[in-house]
Amino acid sequence: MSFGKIIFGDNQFLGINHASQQKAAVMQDQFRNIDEIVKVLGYAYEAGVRDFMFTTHDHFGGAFEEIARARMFPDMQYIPCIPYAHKYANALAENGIFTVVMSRLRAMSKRRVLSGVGKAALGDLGGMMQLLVEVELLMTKGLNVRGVFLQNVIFDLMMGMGGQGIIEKFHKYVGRIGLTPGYITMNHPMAQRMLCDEIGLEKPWICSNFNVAGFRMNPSQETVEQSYGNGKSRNIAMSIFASGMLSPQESVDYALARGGVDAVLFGSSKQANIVSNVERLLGRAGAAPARPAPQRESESVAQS
Amino acid sequence: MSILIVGGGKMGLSHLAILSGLIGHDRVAVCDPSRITRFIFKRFKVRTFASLEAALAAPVDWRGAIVATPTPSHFPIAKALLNRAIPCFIEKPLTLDVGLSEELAQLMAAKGGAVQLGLVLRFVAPFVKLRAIVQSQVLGKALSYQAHMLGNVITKPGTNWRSVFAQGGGCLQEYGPHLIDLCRYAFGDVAELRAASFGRTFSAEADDKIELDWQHASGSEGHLLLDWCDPSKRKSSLEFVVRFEKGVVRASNADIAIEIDDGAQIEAGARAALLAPVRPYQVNYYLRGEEYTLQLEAFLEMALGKQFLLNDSLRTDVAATIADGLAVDKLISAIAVKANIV
Repeated sequence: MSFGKIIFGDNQFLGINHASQQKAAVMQDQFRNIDEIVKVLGYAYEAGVRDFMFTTHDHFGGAFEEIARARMFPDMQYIPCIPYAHKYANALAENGIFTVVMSRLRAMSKRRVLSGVGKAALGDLGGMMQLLVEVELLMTKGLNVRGVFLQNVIFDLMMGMGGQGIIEKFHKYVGRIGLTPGYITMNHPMAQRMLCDEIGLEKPWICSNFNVAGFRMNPSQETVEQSYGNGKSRNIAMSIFASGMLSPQESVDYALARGGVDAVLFGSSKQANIVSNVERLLGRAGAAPARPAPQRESESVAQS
Repeated sequence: MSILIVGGGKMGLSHLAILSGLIGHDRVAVCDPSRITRFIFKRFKVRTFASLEAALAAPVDWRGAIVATPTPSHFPIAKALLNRAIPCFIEKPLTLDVGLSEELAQLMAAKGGAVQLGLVLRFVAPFVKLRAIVQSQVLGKALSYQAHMLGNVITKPGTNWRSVFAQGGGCLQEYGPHLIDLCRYAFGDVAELRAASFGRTFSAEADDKIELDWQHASGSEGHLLLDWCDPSKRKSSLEFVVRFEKGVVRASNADIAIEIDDGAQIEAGARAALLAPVRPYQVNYYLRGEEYTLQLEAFLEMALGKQFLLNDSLRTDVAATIADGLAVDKLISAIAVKANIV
């Protein structure tokens, strides 16, 4: 299974800008309105992008319902990144752990919930991970989900804590339900070592920062370039524009001139930027379509 | 040899993961009285202890300790560690009582130990640059500044320690250490606290908002605003707007913007360096912001005598010492009195 060459991201919808708090605040206001989200997703779709990667923020619930109901963007493939950590942190502060857990679990069968909670109580954190995937995928009901990625906060935490066993269970579980697992990290070389050398996964998908400025490429730009280029993993480059600090062409040239970039993840709220970035990325890729022909029958799993 | 983390809460977990990523999770242990907390850490094969006494009695060569417990317990824990000359990393603030903070500073000096405070924002690249601009005087003297720290931490009336000043709660003791320390870090010691006031939004026995004016020994004048009940913030935001003789600098957690006055005389090389973009420093293991790793890399260098920091410029004169922690505690105490919180 493969993702498209270009994956549309969601930072703009959540008011995240790594280089400017002011820009971030403006975007946060704009995308309080669900219609604005659907409109910008439409720009990406029209430009030829067929993959959308997003964090499972409650904010998207309404937009997804609208998209599923109106059958918009029929070839779009969705890649949720779980969990949206702030959601749990905020909810915890507001309502306490019991309410949070119950509100998330309400929509699931009692048997599944009891099994997950039971496993967690017995210390089987891998079992809890399965429950987390199920809970987080509830919001994608009716969408063509293709993969599930672990957010960097949780993945990097697991990596630091030596939680290989939990990652392995996540990987197997996501594969078992017919989806492609992936990992977002701020530590690409370390992640590759753990996933490939320690767990023994075959060419896992890893998504990390990759940009000419070396922004958030840890421990160094050179080391990350090497781990991208060694062929052990399939790699999604993100922050290639390093939050707008570099010229777009310079940024794209860097990402595409080096080996090992299988896909590029970028987000933008402006149609002109979306179109020009897609053209730049595809221009270098030999004018290939943004994604191979859709194979939805075999590769997608409807959420039930 | 190992590093002991005292307190397995949110900060303890963050420190544990980062230290594990840096030196291996078999070289980090956690001490926490909660059985559930220890149970979860054991699932990750982390060595745990139910008490500090048990950890210190174990046959382990403790080369350093992280104190990440609620502030009222910092003093007895730090005292026990410093008595054994174990290098300590202590979360902010140092203690809730200036007298106790002074006692710890004296104990450290007497025992030849070492203490680093968890005043993490010192490692944020825009603030490192702001400080360099002040110290180099490339824009002339820093005349005055406004600094704010706003967030959405408290969203309804609370019933726990966070809403009780005497237990370490309130905006001044939670947000205050960060902003107050950054002011000292960039502009030097505070000479005179001129005015301070507080406001309440939700906390019955503590402050939710603080405003103050002061002057540094260098002559710079500062106006500070702290508010942890600002519903417009997704996460805490911290910003300085500084008026220099030759321009204005705005520095936040994420970026720094420099406006040079028309006609200001600045040598071309210095001007280019001033306007060069600032990027976060690289780290050996990233978890939740470079600064959290950088402060522990600095601590490990002190405790283990090995190099961890990838950027040499962060090695000296960045991490907060016990003297910095004591100075912050004194200022918090003075502000609380001036604003009539206590």
